[in-house]
Amino acid sequence: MVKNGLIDKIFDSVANIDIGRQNLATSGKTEAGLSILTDGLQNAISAYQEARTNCNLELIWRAEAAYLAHEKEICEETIREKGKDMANLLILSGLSNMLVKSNDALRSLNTLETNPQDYVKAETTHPTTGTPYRVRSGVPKDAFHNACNYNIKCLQHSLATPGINQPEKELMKHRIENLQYAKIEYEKLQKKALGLPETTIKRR
Amino acid sequence: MYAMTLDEKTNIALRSIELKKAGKKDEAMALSKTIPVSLSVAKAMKMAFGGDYVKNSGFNLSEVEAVYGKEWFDR
Repeated sequence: MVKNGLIDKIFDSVANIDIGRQNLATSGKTEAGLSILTDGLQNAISAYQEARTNCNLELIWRAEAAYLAHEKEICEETIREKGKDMANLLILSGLSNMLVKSNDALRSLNTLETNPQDYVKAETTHPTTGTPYRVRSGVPKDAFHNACNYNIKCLQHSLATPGINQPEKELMKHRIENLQYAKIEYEKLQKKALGLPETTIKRR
Repeated sequence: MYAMTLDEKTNIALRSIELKKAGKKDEAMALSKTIPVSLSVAKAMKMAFGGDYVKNSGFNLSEVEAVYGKEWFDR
């Protein structure tokens, strides 16, 4: 289970990101806004690092969901205030997809961790070969892998977008690293549940 | 209900950051928790961690309760 202290840290960071952005967008208090926004982003990075150190895949995904859901709320607010601009609609659609993937990942992780026997049974429904269905080691490329791959790709795309400030870029880089790490750790859990040795690459 | 202005929230957030920089992390967090959480933040945290956590987090939820009511966390 996720530690409350870490969740508080995430809560605090999302709240500061929110206050920082409100200042930048409305009050003209650029210096204060930037300072609070930067603190929020640094706190988020620190929470991500802590989740990774504790090997906490659930927290990595729940933190991801919190930041995505907040982005989505802000995007919806902007659309309500400024109208349906095509660029914002595209961003909203992308964020919604990423959130759906986050929930998929958490669902897969929950099944794998709490009902490994059910996971073993479900594994037989995956085709035995083919890169869309299996990762190189032979374990199923399930919703968790798809979610990691999809969100990593979206974050990499966002990183290349002009106009993103350095602290936000840093957070995105950490999110990408954490999702890459989550994929590797999840694969270890899959191998354990399926009774595969950790180092053996199984070709199917 | 008294609604805190953005300026007031900003000043508290800045004081909390100062406390954090001075190594007083618990005091900083306690001060942060007095700032009313915006609807967008509460909705995001509820989505990611559930209504129960948000309700019992100790963060100031007065703005959320004023708009959605106390039952919103359990819905």
